[in-house]
Amino acid sequence: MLKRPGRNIMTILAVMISTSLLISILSITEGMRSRNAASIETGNQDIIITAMGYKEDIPHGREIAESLENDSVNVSFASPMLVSLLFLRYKEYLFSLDPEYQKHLIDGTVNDTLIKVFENNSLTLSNKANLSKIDGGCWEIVDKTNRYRIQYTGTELNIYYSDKPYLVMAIGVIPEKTEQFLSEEKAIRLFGLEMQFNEWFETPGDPHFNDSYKGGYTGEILISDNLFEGIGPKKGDVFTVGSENSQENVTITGTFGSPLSGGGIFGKYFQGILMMHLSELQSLVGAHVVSDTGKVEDRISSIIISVRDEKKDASEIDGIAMELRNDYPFYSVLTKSDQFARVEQRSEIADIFYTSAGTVSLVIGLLFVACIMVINVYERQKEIGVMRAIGISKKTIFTQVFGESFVLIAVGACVGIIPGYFGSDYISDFMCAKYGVEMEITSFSLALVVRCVLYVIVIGCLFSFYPAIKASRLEIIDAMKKP
Amino acid sequence: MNAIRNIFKRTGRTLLTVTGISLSIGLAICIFSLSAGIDLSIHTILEESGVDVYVVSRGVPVFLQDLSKPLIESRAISRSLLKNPGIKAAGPRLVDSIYMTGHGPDDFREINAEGKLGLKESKIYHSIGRGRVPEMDGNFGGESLVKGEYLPTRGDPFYQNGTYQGGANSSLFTHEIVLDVYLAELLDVGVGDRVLAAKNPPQSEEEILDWSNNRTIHFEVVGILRESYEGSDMPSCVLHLSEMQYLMGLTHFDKATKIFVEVEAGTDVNDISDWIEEESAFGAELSAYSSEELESDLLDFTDVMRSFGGMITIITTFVSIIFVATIVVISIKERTGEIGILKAIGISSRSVVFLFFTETMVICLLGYLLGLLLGVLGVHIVDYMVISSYDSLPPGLVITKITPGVLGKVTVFAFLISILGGVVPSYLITRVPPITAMRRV
Repeated sequence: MLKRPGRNIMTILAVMISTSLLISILSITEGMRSRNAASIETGNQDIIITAMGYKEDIPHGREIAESLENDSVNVSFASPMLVSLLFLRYKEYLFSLDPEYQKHLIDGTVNDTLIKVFENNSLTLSNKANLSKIDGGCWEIVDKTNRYRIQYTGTELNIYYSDKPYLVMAIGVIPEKTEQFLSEEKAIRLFGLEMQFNEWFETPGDPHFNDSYKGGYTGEILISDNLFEGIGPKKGDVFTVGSENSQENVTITGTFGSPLSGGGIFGKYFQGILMMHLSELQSLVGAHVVSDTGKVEDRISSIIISVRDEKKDASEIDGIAMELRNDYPFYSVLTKSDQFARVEQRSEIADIFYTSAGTVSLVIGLLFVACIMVINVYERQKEIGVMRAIGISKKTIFTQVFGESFVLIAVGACVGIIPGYFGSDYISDFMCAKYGVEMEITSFSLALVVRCVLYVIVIGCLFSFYPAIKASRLEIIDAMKKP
Repeated sequence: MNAIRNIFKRTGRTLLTVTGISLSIGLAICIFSLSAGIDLSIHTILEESGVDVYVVSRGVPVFLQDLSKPLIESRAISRSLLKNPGIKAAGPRLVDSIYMTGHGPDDFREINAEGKLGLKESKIYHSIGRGRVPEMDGNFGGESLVKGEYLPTRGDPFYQNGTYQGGANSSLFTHEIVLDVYLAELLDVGVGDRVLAAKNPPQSEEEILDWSNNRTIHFEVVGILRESYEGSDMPSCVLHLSEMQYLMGLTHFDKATKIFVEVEAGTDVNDISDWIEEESAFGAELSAYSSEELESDLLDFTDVMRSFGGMITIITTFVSIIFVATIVVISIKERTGEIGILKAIGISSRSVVFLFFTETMVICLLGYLLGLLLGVLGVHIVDYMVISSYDSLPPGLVITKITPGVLGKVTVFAFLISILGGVVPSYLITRVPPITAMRRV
């Protein structure tokens, strides 16, 4: 083999590239599987009930969750949840003025006094800026792309910078119920997103729900780290949530880690995740009452259920899910293994496609090995003839050629592990950046490496048969005649 | 002819090299045609919809509108948009979940296995309801009528300036509904049949009778249509906007999910989109997305697949180049003596290069042609695999498409393999001086 280093190096290079491509590609489906398996193992959400539709389609959600907890001998906890889109707006506190300055707040224009006040606070306000009164104690100044809010608090005029609204995925929960589902690391997986809490709500219950959504409004929210870092809030800033027309003041009581980075494709549509009290979210999105009649409707998206410890066995959980399906035939009832099977089914086609693409690339590399071995046999016909003439068996010739081919493939496959690792890492980074998530999309495991290397070697052996058989079948006389 | 004779002298290596190239070309066709098919589907479905601009609540991405709060005063907004002469039609749409059954209350009076009154199995289905005002719709398409007609009452008489007087018993409530083929099949109904619809399903089987008697509104199926943009996992129906609003309990402020806008021929869609946001009467509350923007946003989702496919193709092509280059170098080195003799008898270097160039080109051409065949076969396999794995794909979805663009890209890759893998090594090696070459005879 060392006599022809050039061709052997090229052959090993081709096998190495093909193997690394195969490892990199298959690390994506491996990643899907390991994430899926991890989500099954962590947390104690055994069953999830969701609406058939895509919105908050389960009316009287609390009633159902409470009846599950109270009546069933199977259920430990049941937590109703609502997911919806909301705008999170914040007004960055800049400075305060004496209430006397109200006389300078004249509709349509900004006067020199106001411009000077802004200058004193290191802010530039052009004389072309437009000032408008929003309501009794609120004014807005629009200066090109900058928007300022002036709010009369009763004792002073607070000046805020109105930033653009952040569209967020809002999850409404009853803290004391959902808390039961947190793992020891204070993590939970909801709607396919892993969330790790740094702080939790201060009010455990959901007081706003009392008296038909007339109870106390806590305004507590938890926001994802990426959102918190993007905003960089400071003392005095005012946050509101809601749509253009209905907004409520809120307070950030904590943050949590989430896979969203705020950029990429997902970041284009929503910039982060927000958690708040269920009833407060319901009121904001109109899921609390029937719009026409005002009758309490308490609509939610899903109920997560943890079964009693003695019933944690998979077959017991399946049995409980079956009962729930009978009780709630118009909702979707899924166990962890149902969810796992669903993801597996969805990733099956991707798995086949990636494996096929990787295999085709691998086959090209292995055809190369076979081709080089065919050429080697052709060039060494005389040598093979001599070997056969001195009594070396066909089997030995076969083994020698097959072994040579095997070494090339095995070396190429093993060396391919290193670029395969970097390829897998690159794909993970690439996909994270594209989608706007921070997570391990691919999984480079020992099992994957062993599987891929064995796969390369087994297919490689099949391709090595052709030159080995060709060499072993050479006729001594014909071979000896060759130059 | 001499080149072809030389190729067939070494059939084993020639066959293996041709197979390697053809696999590379075949894989490239499959990958590129998959991207092309999905891109074409997105373009066709959007074009067939006939919608030029999508109008939603301010700041809400068009894809997520259904999860956000609806637009208010949708008819007033639509009419205000028509003041722009460039806008031909503006039609409000309310999209939401509806629970439906094709059975009348009497059908539910069955005694099930446990001796309880109710159903042996669920005959109530979830569907997507689409409320529209037919006369406000332009040439919005993407739907083809299979049977019956499309909402014969062109206006929306039940609306009555937002009073919705008389409720479902009003003589102005048309009770007309058009089902898509999947929903008609699920409900087991045809044109002229009666269906019951409600915002919420019954909470349990015990509630079914009460639900069907008191909580539903009956509709008469006037037509059955097929939507090119929805698969069988999204059974849907079309009804008048005000009747959908009434069904959903949304009879305040004329709520709708979005407004579809059709612009006059020759009008710039992006100008209209900008006008809606910046100058129209309700602009401060609206976001407008042109169909081009929407297509571009949708293509973002397939961009990852495209980039990834491109990466696989480039790496595979690189392996093929190494393959062909090594084989060409070995084959030429075997024939160094022959090159020396050819040069010694006065044949120019250019002619010698041409001889080997022709050999390489023939191998690459054979690989390319066989690769095209393998690619077509592969594309059919991909189509079959996807269709058999997902039984709910929209009828308008094209999985793979071998376009001229795909063939063009594949030809460039084949050209790269032949030039870098064949021609360059031939040129470099055949430049050996005749004396050096003759020594190897």
